[in-house]
Amino acid sequence: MLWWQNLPFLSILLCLLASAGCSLLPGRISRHLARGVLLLCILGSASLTAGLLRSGSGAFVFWMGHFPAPWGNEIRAGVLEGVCACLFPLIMLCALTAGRGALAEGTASRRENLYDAVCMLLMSALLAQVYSNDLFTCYVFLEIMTLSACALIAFRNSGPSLAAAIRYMVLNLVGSGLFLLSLVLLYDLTGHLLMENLHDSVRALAADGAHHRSLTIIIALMTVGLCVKSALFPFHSWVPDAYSAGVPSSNAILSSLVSKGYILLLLKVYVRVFGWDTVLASRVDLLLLGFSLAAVIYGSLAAMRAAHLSRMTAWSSVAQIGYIFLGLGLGTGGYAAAVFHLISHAFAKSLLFLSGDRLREAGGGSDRLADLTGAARRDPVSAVCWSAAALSMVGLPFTGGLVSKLLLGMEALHHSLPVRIAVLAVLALSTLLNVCYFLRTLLVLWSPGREASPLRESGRRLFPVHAACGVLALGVLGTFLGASPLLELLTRGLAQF
Amino acid sequence: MNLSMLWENRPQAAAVILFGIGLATLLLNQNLIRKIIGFSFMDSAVFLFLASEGYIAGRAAPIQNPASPLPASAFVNPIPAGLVLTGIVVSVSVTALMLALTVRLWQRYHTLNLDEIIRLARREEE
Amino acid sequence: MRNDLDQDLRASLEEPVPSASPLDQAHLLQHRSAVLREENDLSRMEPDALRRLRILYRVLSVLVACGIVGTLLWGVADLPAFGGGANPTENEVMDRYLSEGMREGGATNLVANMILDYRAFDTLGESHVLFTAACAVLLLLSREPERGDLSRSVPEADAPADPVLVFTARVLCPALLLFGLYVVLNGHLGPGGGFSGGTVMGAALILYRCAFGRRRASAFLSLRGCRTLTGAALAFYALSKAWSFFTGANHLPSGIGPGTPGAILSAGLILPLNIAVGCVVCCTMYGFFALFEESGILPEGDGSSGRSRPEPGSSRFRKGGAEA
Repeated sequence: MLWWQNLPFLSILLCLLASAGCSLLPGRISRHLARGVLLLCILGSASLTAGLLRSGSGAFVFWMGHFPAPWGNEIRAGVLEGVCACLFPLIMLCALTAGRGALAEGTASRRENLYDAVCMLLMSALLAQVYSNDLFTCYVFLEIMTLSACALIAFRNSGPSLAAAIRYMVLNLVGSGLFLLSLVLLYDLTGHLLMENLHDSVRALAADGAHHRSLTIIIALMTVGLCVKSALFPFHSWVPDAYSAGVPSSNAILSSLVSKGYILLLLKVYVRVFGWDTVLASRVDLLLLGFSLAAVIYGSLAAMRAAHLSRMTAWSSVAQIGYIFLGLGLGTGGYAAAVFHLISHAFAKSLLFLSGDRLREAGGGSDRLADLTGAARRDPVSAVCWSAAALSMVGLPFTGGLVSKLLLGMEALHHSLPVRIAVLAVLALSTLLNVCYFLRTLLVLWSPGREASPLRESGRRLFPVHAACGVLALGVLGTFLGASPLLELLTRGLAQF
Repeated sequence: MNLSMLWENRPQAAAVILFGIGLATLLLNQNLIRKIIGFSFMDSAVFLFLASEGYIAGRAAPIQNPASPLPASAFVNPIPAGLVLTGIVVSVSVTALMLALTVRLWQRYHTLNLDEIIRLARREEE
Repeated sequence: MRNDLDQDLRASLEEPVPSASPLDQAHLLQHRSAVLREENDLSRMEPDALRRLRILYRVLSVLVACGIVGTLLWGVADLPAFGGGANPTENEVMDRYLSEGMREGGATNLVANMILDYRAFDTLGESHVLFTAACAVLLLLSREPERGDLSRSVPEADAPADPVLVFTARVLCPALLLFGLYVVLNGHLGPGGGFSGGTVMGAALILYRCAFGRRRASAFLSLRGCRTLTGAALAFYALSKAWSFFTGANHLPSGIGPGTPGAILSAGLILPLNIAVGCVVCCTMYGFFALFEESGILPEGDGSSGRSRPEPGSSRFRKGGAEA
């Protein structure tokens, strides 16, 4: 066993230990602890990816204990896992750094250390989700994600945020229930919980044609359960309220990390447990395609009607989740597009929320579009970052959004005529709608408005926010400039996923 | 539908019906406490399902005798028991968190009706 | 909407509830405020369209629930037979847990071997689910500043508890604590373990708090103490399992053997882990109760004591509701 193969398990355990530590330490120490651990996780995952690439050996399995595969737990790491494990802590680090000021002022209870503890738990759950090779482990950490995300939404402790949190919980628990039920049914049919063994058993069942009915039900339940949890179109009702009532760092984390974790799990289930052929045989792909196309259109239309910046961003998030699921619904060829969009959207959306909060400050504490006239003059750095993210959402050149839309469109060409037409038409229409509402907001932001009122904060306090936004903006740019190596990395990762 | 097979699997069928009752409770009631009860129903239904999966007719609970170990064919499946344990812990955690949210919402809006709460929250936001 | 509300009211009145329980008070207050608000908002009654939407929603939810139940029943009829001896679940995984479990893990309770040795990572996650919920509830319900003990600001005089309760608690608390401890410590030898034993001990502490008031309970175990104990137990759990995962994956000797099955000091890490889990569960259960009690069910701003008192108007309201 090589030294870097210990890194995945170390990063999960480090986050768990840090969460226990953060809950006991005062806020000013816990924030440094949390950031330090996140930094270590990024470094660890980067060395893991480098090690994997250099050795060229493909994915490896790590026993969690003294017992081999079907008896003990195990985790599995390949290139794709390494990339995701770099991305997630990076975005959380940026969100925690940029959102710290708003965290302290916007809350009734000053329990920042608990916020850090919950964030560390969320991070450990995300990493476990990324690495786990056992479906039941995934379920356990899925619940940690659900609970900690609820705590993040409710952190402000104001009425709207509590109401949003309870709506989030209601829908998400239905999702967890469906996922658990399908997991239990699957265990009943196969007798396994480990993904490789599940895959073999499902293969055998599909070849036999035995239990075809239950298998279809299981795939449908699991898909719907995870769609509910990642707020795909008909299950999105909590999204706008949650994102407009939460603190900005929570919004960034929720939209860029939590929903992505569920999507990654669904991808894992499709690739490692069922195999795309079995999913095709159950016709669940049509469900995915239908939901995702509807999500793209509905989210964009609703974003056009929104009067607040945060609500608009939230609705655009509904649409963007649709793009990722569109990639999944297109099958094996669309996986790379889905993961690429997952990455580019994670950068852009967290940037939109974090810099959007700065613009709200510049707009005098209101994020009504009407109040934001000329906000760019008062806080140019945030405005530039926001604009970059918005352009990525639209899919203009020099942003990652363009690449993912191109990938999706190109993949659709390989499909049957109705699918091809539907996907291309929806892509075109949604791009048009995106242009409408993001361009309108950009014009409002950059137009000369009321005379500039000086910002309340000094430059020194703003520096961490701007630095974090800058890093994310670089990510948006980097996903375009480095698109081809990243895509190659993802393809290689998916091949060994 | 194969009815004799359904009768054979009646514990599972009962669990599934309980799950549906829980889901309907959750969807039909706007009262938060009743919604939480609906969740507990759904969770318990899944546990019942799991427990009936582990059962093998005529076998004992998996506690081994150290002096004279029994063969594996003497015991029921231990895996569902472990899974149920995990599920119960998750269910307790979720219920506690939901109740805490409900208490806070009630302190704020003096109602447990979710529609009402959402309406009041919207008004407060504006 | 009005009709629904009245029906709800009537339903709640028909339920036989003890009038002094806080939850009941909560319900009555809720209904009354809802009615009052509805009367104030008569001008803003919901339009017909919304009402129709609500009916549609109800019909749809019934359909969805029935659809899911029907589909699942359809699937259940397709599953392997209940209780049969040759189902897919009876495979090599189960066989090894049952036949080799005691030799490899050291515990005679084969389920304990499975959850704390073979599949310990799941259980590690499971205790952290509880911890996540504890953090979230603490975030939501505590109103104290960061430093200091939560029990300090509590009013000095607790209402004297019922003598029956005090007597029962005096008899039951030590017995329950001892029993919980036994269940935890015996977890590797028989039915039991950290989760069940911890729950029993948590129940004992809750009973103690109910009977003797929060001041005496806090002197025994404060919320701050709960948090410290939970954090320490979780850290111990994570660290010891980190050692076992690390040595296992790298094929190193862990230095922890299964011992003699059946002896109290056996089964390697299972006993200490059971104790750690017992601490976490006990503290979390007790902490949940303490936080819920201290936050009170009374609305914000009403009374600083935080403890719910019977609302004077409530019984009249009950009568009024019944007449209507």
